[in-house]
Amino acid sequence: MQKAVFQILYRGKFLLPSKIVNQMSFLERTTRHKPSFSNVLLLYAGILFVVILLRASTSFSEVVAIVNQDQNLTQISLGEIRNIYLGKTKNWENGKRIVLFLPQSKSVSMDTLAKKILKLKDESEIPKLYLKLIFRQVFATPPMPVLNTDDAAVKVAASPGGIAIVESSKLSRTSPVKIVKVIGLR
Amino acid sequence: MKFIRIYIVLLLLQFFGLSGAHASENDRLVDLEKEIQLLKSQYRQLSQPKVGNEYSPPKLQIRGFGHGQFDYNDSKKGSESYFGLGGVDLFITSQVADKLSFITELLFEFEEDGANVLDVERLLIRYEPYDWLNISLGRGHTPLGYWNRNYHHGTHLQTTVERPILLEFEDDDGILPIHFVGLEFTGNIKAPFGLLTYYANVGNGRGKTIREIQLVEDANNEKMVSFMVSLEPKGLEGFGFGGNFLFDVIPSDPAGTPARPDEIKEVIFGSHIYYVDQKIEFLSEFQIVNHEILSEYYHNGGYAQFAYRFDDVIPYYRYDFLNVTQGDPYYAGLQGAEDIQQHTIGFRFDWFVYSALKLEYRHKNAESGVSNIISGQVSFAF
Repeated sequence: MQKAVFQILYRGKFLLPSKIVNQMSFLERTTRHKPSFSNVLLLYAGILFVVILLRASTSFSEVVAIVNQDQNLTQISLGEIRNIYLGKTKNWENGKRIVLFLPQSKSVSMDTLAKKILKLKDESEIPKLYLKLIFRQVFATPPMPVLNTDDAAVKVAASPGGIAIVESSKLSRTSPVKIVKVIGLR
Repeated sequence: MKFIRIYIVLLLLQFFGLSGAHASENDRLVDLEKEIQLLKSQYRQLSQPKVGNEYSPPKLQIRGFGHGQFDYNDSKKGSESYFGLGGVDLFITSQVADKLSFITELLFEFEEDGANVLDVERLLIRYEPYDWLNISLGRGHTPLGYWNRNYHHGTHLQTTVERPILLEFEDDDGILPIHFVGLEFTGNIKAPFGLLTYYANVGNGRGKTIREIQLVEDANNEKMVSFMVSLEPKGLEGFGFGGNFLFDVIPSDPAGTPARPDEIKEVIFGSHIYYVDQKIEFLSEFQIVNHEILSEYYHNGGYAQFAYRFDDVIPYYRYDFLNVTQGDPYYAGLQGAEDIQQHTIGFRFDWFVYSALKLEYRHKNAESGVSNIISGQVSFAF
């Protein structure tokens, strides 16, 4: 009964000083009670939910393409970027030669390039793919690997036709490159 | 009062002390910023890509392929087994300039008599001004379907041990002009319905005999002209189809054995269809060869190959056929110029990234007899 009254008063936001006193006494009494199993379960579920949310927020990172600032490009389709990495498109619209960079090995970007963009089994297939493409004279040399996201940004910034695949969250805000969203990449 | 004075003195001391510390902290930050800027500029210089820099030397790459194999052949002549070396296939590529590249494929072959032969199988300098126009000069593979443009002398890249019978090399008694020497135009055209790839060649054409590749001269003024187009429709990644055409005038060979006083008009046309993705490989090609001399000779051949990847193991099957009209003077004495049907079944195991083990069985039903061949091959890239 007391609990019900407290809830009504509390939700109604018209607590009077005397009723606040009652509320305090009620809180004091309730906190002294041993928590029930369901309360503990709810508490742990809540903590778990928060932890999952935090982990999801830290692990979720969009994979994007970065290009040289000279390129007039804001987004690119998955098919277009696949054609670029397969050597079917070798020049930008402004005539600049496309210079490819490979992401760091065992990174999210490399995994995305291998599986989602090039549709390969995994990144171990990438050297084989470029061996084939060089043998077919599609490329003369394989794409240059980068050490990390900063390295990718520096190399793309230094190369007028440069393009690399990176995780947007790891990219420095001051990186002198243009971020290009890859449409269809989830 | 005394305490107040002491307090003021302490306050002043604290103020000047702190501001001094603050000033030194600022100086340190400025120094650190300068150092970071210096390191950044050095890093940029070190990591600057060399492609496109006209003053830096061309980027040269040397790669190679090799293979060794064991064959067991059971035919009406009896059975034989032997080890064979596939030679050393070196290919050198270089990005000469921003849009200029070079490739050469040098094959060190071992002949049946034990001799070593060096063949320059490909040598092409390519200028790529646009995606839709690349111009190459040199010796390359004639655009005759999918296989001849995508697989060359390194067997490691092809799924099977052997090439299709139709596409055997000239020096292995193949009936098609696998190589050209001349000029090639290729390009990719983005159409609303898909990606169109074309190849157009003008070259020296065939020599007086099948094995003769006219590297530095042409025995007649007529040039070989060939054209191929492939379409990869939009939304069907890995699928493609196309057709090809070739016209050549083969020079006369009055001093040959047998003597052939007349030139031969050669027309080849064919089609190809393929689907290649991470799991499935389906290739099929068909070519018709017409030789017009005093009478006309028609020959045709083709194959269909299917392979499915189970992780590192790829089982495959191929059906080959070749129909050759007898009496064609250009194919006189050519061992492979006969009616052939062949079934090939085998598997490839990619045991390392750059090496594969292949085991295949071929049942060959030719005019000259039936043979059953088992081949085991270790192929690799280096």
